[in-house]
Amino acid sequence: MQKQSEHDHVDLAALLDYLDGAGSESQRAHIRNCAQCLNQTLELSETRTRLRHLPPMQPPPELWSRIENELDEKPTGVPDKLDAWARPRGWMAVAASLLLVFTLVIFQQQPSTAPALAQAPAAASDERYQDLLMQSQQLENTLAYLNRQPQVITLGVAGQLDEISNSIAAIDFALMNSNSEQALDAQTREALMRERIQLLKQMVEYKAQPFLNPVQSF
Amino acid sequence: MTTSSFAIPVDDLALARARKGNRDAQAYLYRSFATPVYSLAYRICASKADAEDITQDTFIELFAKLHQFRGDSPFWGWLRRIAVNKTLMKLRQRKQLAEQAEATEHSEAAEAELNETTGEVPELVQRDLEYLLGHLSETARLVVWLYDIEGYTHQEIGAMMQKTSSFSKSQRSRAYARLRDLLCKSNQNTTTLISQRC
Ligand SMILES: [Zn+2]
Repeated sequence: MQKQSEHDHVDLAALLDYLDGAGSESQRAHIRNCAQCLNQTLELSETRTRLRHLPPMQPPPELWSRIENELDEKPTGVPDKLDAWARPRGWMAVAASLLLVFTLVIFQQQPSTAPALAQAPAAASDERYQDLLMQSQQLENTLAYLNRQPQVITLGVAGQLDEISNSIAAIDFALMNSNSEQALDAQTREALMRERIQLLKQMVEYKAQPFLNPVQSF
Repeated sequence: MTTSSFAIPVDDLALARARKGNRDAQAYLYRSFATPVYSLAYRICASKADAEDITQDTFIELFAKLHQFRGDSPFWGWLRRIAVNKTLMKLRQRKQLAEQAEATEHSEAAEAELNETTGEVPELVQRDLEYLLGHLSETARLVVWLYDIEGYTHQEIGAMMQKTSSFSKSQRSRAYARLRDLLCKSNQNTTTLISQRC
């Protein structure tokens, strides 16, 4: 094993690992024996401690009455999944997105629909999911790039984009909840992620259109 | 041991009554958890208006879904999950608005981003760590808060954002590198509590 010299300091990620009690033994040994790295680790630790001790923030006193008003407006005790997060947007778009998610979930829960996936070992399915995550991330990067370019978007396209965004939000909602107790099975999770990638691709296509065909946008 | 300010025990009877829609019991839950919910939202969004919206949405959803809480895990963890979800949704919503605004004009969000790249820190508030936190990107703030204060793992945070765990990890490194730079800058002219080496 190669020995780390004193000039070969470890990077910030390794210092953070050290704080978390993780990282390789050679890195940990270096930090313990190097005044500079140890000092930097202590500084990071101090920053973290200060973050943890930021004072709690008090919501404005009138917020409870706002909540009470909203509670008064709706029938209590009835689960109303849609309403709480549909408020900022059109309920039709959200309903459509939810329908899409539920259809996917139900479709995927039928064992006969995807026998190959069902038999795949857990490790392979996890690897596939990581791949999908990477694809999704790359598409988000492309979108972020496209969003930074000055562009003219027609009302029609803006509407389409909004609908796609809503569908992605609905999928994210289902995926987010999949980490809690009511876990989605691997197949469903994968199907949702594939659908998410498709939607992102559509978004990229819409957003890239003015650049591919500039005359059309004016 | 958790550093989460959500870790508050609740009265089972109050939970049962709130589940049936009892207003006093709902108010008790609000009084118990409004501060941690609002603080989490504010620290991540750096906006009072957004933190208020998130708090309101969180409690509305909590009361609507309370019958689904099975009690096999601590109540506070369940509620915190709703608050985190609402915060993520707000960030997504903000991103969309910023993107729409950016297409036509120089938006506030873009300005904030510009500020981040040039790293200008007004002198008056240099010592305020909270202010410096506001100079991180939303993603960096989110990751630092969920990891270092709330105690979520990189895997959990990555999953919440539909990203990999290494994305979460690298965002955290970037956040601390950025905080270190900002603290260092603020240390050049004034004496701060933290004496960062530059
Ligand atoms: Zn060193």
